[in-house]
Amino acid sequence: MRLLRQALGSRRGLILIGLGAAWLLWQAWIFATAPAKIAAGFPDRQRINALITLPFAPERFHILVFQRYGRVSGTDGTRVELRGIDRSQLGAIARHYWVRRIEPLQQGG
Amino acid sequence: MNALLALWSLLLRTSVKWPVLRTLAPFVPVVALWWAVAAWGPFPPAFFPSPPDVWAKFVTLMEKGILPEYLGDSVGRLAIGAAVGIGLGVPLGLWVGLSKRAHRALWPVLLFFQAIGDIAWLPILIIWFGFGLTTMTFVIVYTVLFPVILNTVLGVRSVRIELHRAAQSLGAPPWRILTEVVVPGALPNIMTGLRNGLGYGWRALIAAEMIVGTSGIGFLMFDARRAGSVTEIVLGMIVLGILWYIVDAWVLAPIEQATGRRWGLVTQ
Repeated sequence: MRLLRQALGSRRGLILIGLGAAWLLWQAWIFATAPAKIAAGFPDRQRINALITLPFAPERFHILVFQRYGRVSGTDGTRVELRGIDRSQLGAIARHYWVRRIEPLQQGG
Repeated sequence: MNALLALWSLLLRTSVKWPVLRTLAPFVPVVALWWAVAAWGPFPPAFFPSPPDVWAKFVTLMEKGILPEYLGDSVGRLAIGAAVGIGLGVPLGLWVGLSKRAHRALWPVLLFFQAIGDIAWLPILIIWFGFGLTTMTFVIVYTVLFPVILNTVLGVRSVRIELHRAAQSLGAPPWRILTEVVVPGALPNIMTGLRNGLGYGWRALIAAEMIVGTSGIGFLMFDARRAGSVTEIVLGMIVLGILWYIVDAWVLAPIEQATGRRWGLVTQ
């Protein structure tokens, strides 16, 4: 408690607390906006395929991140095909702020 | 020349009001010199990027989510390593500091292992645990552990025996002597050990990430050499410096000072 009071009383402490608060707000914003990135029309089954759009061409880092959720079967410009995703993981993918849109991958796509 | 002097005087006056400026002021000539050399052009930009190049790379890596993710990984590893290091180091240090028998048995072993650098463990750790989180966590815990143990022992031994006796004469049981005399008395030293240990741990983590990592700031810098991106390497260095400055000067140093002020007198 005394430490918190000291932190609140110093400029550096206030900056750090401000940074922490900004980070929490940012996380809340990401959490709130994630569902809007997921398009409708996903088939009603546990494992699904998705086409993920980014605002830039994906790099190795992004492919590695997507491989945590499913199999990356190809990229096309700024879009990544991700197969075999657990349905419950769609929200987690959408919470990456650099993901713009998640759509169902059409059959044969 | 007069304009420069006036600017310097303005900076000094403003920095009295805003101490953050005083911290940043020494970097102004460094960045100016860096910028001037880059603009003058004795080295190609691919070898010697300018500050705007590094800033542009920072913006790109933030937009692509690479820098926050890697930074989070590095900080998370350091936090886990520090927590485990403190969790093991403080009790062990208290035990070695309080028990003469434990001190006789363990002190040479502690000094022996302290002499073996963290990076010297990497070859054997890679064989045991492979390229991954366990190896990196081991390196950080190992690096944090010894400064914490050794400083805790020093702290425990610097608590005056009269304070033990006074507490005993007032009827305090051993656990109360431990929690109300020994630990507070040793706390300034524990914090010093933690501060040193985290400093060494941060450096060890970057080295470990370069060798065994698949993410983190060390990995970012080492991976950048593959693409020949000096800009990314310089950016990694700047991020490391700034982050450590914030952790050390804004978090650890004030806690160390506060513990010193609150409990430091117990040891005198």
